[in-house]
Order: sequence, then C-alpha cells, then structure tokens
Amino acid sequence: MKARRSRSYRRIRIRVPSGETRLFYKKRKPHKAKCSICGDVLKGVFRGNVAEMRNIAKTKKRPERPYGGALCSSCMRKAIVEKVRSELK
Amino acid sequence: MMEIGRLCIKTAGRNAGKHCVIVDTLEGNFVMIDGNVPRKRCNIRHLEPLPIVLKVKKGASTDSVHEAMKKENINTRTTKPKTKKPVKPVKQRKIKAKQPAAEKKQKKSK
Repeated sequence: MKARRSRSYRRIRIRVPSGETRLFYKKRKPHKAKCSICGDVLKGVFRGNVAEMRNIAKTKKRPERPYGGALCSSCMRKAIVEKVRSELK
Repeated sequence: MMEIGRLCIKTAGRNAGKHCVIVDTLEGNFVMIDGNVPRKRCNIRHLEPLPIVLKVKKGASTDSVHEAMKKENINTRTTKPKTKKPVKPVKQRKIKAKQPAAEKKQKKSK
C-alpha cells in the first residue's frame, strides 16, 4: 500500500506463527517532552499519539506540580524562587 | 530565620508557590507548616522565607493561622469541605414475568 512507503511508519520484523518472519509497520511515537529551560527529558509526562492521549486521565498526562509538563522540578523551583525574590525588591 | 510564625512560600511539590506559615520546628531540617497548604511536615530546603513574621503560638491551629494571615492581608484559600452528593436511588430493571414454556410453544405451532 502507498501509505506504507512513508518513513513515518517504523518497520518491525516479527516471526509469525507460520514460521516466516514478516515485516510489520508501526506508527512512530512523538518526541519525548523536554524542559523548556534546561532541555532535559521531563519525567511523568505521557508520551503517546493523540488517540491514546484522549482516553487516559488528565493526571496521567503530566505531573501535578505548577509548570507540570513544561519545566523539570529543579527549573520550576528556581523559577518560583526568582519570582518571589523579584517581587520583594 | 526559620522560626515559628515565619511566613514563607513553598517551592517544591504540588503546593509550590503557595503561602505557608511555620507552626512548629521539628528535629533536623524539618518544620511543621500550615496556611494555604495542608498542615504537614516539610523540609526547610523546600521553603522560601519572606521578611514577615506572624504572631502565632507554637503548634497553632489552622484557623488561628488563617486569621493571622488575613491580618497581613494575604488571601487565605480554605478548601471547602466536600459536600456528600445525595445517593441517587438505583433504578430497578423491570423483570417481565416469564411466560411458562408451554404457552410459547403453542404460539409457534399455530
């Protein structure tokens, strides 16, 4: 099929019950969530395509901290401390 | 610096960014905090102190902490007690009286 030629499908070789190994095509997953300040991978952020995201609970998609899915925990702490100190000045 | 009554902001966890008051100092780096956060033990590394100290007794109750915060015009956010929703009566499914098997057969054979 024409769609299978596109490289957005991963090719996986699976041995099927009949004994031969056949090529299976799987959609690629979206990129991992990254912290918008320091850029390392965010923990606790669900990584799946839109269909999967739709039927899982909101709390499973990202951590429940402020800036939950956007900043990692240490960057969030720095951001909050800076905000507090800038207000004091 | 981290004495009882010190107003500070929680910097870690799900209550980050909220005002809290130190109510009691525990051993090690731990203090008991209350205010806009649930009354819990917290490490002082997760608190950012502010230059305000409230007049609060050691181990003060949550209400007195909220009053002291109101005096310093810090808006206190009290979580509403969960109201119990009235339990809806479960609808009973109407079970039709089963026709005796004999009658059914007659209908078919006619």
